Amino acid sequence: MLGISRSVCWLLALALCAACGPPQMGPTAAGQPAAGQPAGQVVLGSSEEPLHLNPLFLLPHHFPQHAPYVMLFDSLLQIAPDGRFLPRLAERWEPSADNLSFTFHLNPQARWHDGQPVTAEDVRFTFAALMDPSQNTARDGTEALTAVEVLDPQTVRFTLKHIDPLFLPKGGSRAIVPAHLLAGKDLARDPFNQQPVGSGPYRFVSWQAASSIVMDANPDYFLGAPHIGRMVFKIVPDQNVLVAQLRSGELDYGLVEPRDVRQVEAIPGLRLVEAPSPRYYSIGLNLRLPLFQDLAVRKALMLATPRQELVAQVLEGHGVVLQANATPASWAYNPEAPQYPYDPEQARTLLRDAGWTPGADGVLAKDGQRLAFAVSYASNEKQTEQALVILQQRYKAIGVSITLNGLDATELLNNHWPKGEFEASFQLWNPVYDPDQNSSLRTGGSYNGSGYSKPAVDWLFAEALSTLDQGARKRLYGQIQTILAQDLPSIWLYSNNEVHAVSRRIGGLQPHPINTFWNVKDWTLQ
Amino acid sequence: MFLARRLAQAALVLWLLVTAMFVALQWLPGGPAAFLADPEFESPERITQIERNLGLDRPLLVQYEGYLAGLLHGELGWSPHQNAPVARLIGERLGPSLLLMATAFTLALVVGTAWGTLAAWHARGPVGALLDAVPVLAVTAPGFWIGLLLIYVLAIELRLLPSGGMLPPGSEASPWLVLRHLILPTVVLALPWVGTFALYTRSSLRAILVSDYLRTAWAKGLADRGVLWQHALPNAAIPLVTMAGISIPHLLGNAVVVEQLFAWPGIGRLAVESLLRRDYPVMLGIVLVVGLAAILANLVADVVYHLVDPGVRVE
Repeated sequence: MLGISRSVCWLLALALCAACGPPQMGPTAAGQPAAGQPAGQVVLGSSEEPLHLNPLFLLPHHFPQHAPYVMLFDSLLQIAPDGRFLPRLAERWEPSADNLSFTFHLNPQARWHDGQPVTAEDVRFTFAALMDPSQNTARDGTEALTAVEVLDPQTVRFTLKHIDPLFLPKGGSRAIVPAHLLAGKDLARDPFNQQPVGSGPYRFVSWQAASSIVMDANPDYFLGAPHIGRMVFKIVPDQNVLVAQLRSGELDYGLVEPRDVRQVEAIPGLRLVEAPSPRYYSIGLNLRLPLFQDLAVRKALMLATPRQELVAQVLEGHGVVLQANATPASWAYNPEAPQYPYDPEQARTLLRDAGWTPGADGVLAKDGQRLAFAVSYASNEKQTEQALVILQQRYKAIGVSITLNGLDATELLNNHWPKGEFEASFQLWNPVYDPDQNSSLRTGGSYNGSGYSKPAVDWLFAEALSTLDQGARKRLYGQIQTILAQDLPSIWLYSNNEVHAVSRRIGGLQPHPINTFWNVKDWTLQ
Repeated sequence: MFLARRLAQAALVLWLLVTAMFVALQWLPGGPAAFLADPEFESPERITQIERNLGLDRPLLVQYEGYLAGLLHGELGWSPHQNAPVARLIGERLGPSLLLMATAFTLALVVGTAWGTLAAWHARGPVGALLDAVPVLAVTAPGFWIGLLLIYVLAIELRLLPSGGMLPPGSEASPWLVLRHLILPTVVLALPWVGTFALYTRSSLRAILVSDYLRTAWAKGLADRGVLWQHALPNAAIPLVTMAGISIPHLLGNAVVVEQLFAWPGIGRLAVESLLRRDYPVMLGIVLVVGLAAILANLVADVVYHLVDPGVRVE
């Protein structure tokens, strides 16, 4: 056996020599910060890797894999956890009297990581690239833009074709890229996509494909140097291994699934930061089907849905029950919207009064139509499956039969839902930058899979999109929620909190409904 | 002549593979554009525009010709999702994958054959029973579970080995570091094949050890070692070569799970991720490269077969 193990070692060594050479992108020389400068290292775990590091192709939000964009780049303004706008690249900004243009004044101290100043031309170039139809850039925030003009090297003016309350939160959150490095280049093919130069609190050091991204503090950051010297973004695809590495101290940060929370809570070196989120789940009903055109059926389903139980079982308590299409984390949330308790008895009564009688198989029927339907869902969502199995039991108790129709997520979201090719569909909604959801709820909206149509709601959406007054918009969206809670085009379910596991060594992390890493330069390390 | 014919065959198989994949992509629901533009917030016109930008609005035959012409010029195309050339994306992942598979294959073959030989030699008593039982366990144990167990015990609790990745983040490559990271994924990937090779070696060898020509060899006064090495093992190796050829595609399949668990930056993970986001150029590139690797492995197996058993004609 000794001979064998020796030859195994030898072969291993041989294979190593033959196939070594790990993927390295970009310079690896990590500048060591001098004394008194940013210091220490934090390792952030993420189950997914960014596809590239070019923010023209992505508006980053809450996903951990978006963290590098937020660290490497700056946007014109910064959304605070309470929804206020804070200065970032722009020191100040003002709308015109008619709210159809915005003038931004850039901070003259802002510099790219190569030392060049950040100018109005960079802003103009960025937005021109975002609006260029021949590019596959992500256009969030530019929908109403018609022109971006450089007034002087520090001043830039945006002109809109109509009043757009989404311009400041989305357009203002778009990362600005350096014109002097990208002008005239093929934006989707330039090496910038893998070795970016930004102006943010951290600068790019290296990227090992499918392994890690290393970023070092930018000591000259114009809003003040970050405290932590190095951010290592580590890709850990398996959630069990992510938790194991949090336990061993290999990771200082990780997003935790509800099922792992209790386990992670017990790890001494970690604290949990739980943040309510604007994202939520609902079961969209296809209102083109006669079955769902009956309000009594929709109401009975809502009453027979044990939402508190779902939050307790599926989210292990880390979430809230919803009444309509906004969560308590959204500034547009209306706590006054009609509430539905879990009341299967009332559901039964409603259905009986509407003429539904039990058939031979125990399933209710009316005029030859059984109260049975299929719920489509993204089959990679294990939590959804768990929720649907509970629902199947509870609905059966009132004589409603549902079948589970697991589909490929892309297929469901991009094909079945918008085309209305489903009976009912379990959906995740993600209104992160603004509570507006007109495309999925207004008559003829491009993502209105339910086929819901209500003139009052259409009018309220139009009003809410024609003013910048957040107070007025909150009232209008609040009314929409009241109507949606009465009309029930969907069974409104729940919103899950985001649970972040953070090393106790890290201070300064403030939960944010959109982005956990928004204030990363203020994080400290003990 | 043999090689030329095999290479022509290989080119034909690759062409068929790429063509089949190209056609299959058209049946795959959804497309790359919907991944680049969120249909909740983008208009259907924008999604059509992106499809046009990607050239997906051209007739299928034109797209196909364009792709083949690119291939003939050595171009695998660009990933519209990762904004990078496919050749580089695959290149970065191919090395780690080949390294993992080669070490796992070698480990499985060497340890499996040795174990099977021992088991055949010590067929009796409690030692024999133990030698028989272990490979069965190795074959049936679920790899994912074994992997997690090894991570918890060896990496998290005892801290003897790293729990994943190929290198510590941000560090320079060194054979020693890569070796340390390689041990756990290699063991998990190799384990079922250690068992398989052991079982095949044992049964094949046991059949030979009772054969007439071996009795003759012993009768002539040949020592045990000589009987084993010169007569028994070479003959027992023939079914092993077949098994070894079969193991390659299986290793490739299992590698996806192992790469996921151990955060190994291999091509299996890239394949799954590209499929989920409908990254056509990367998917086609992977099919091409993996197909080529499978063909080469097959070719090597044929040659080895010929060497082990001159009775087998490769022509």
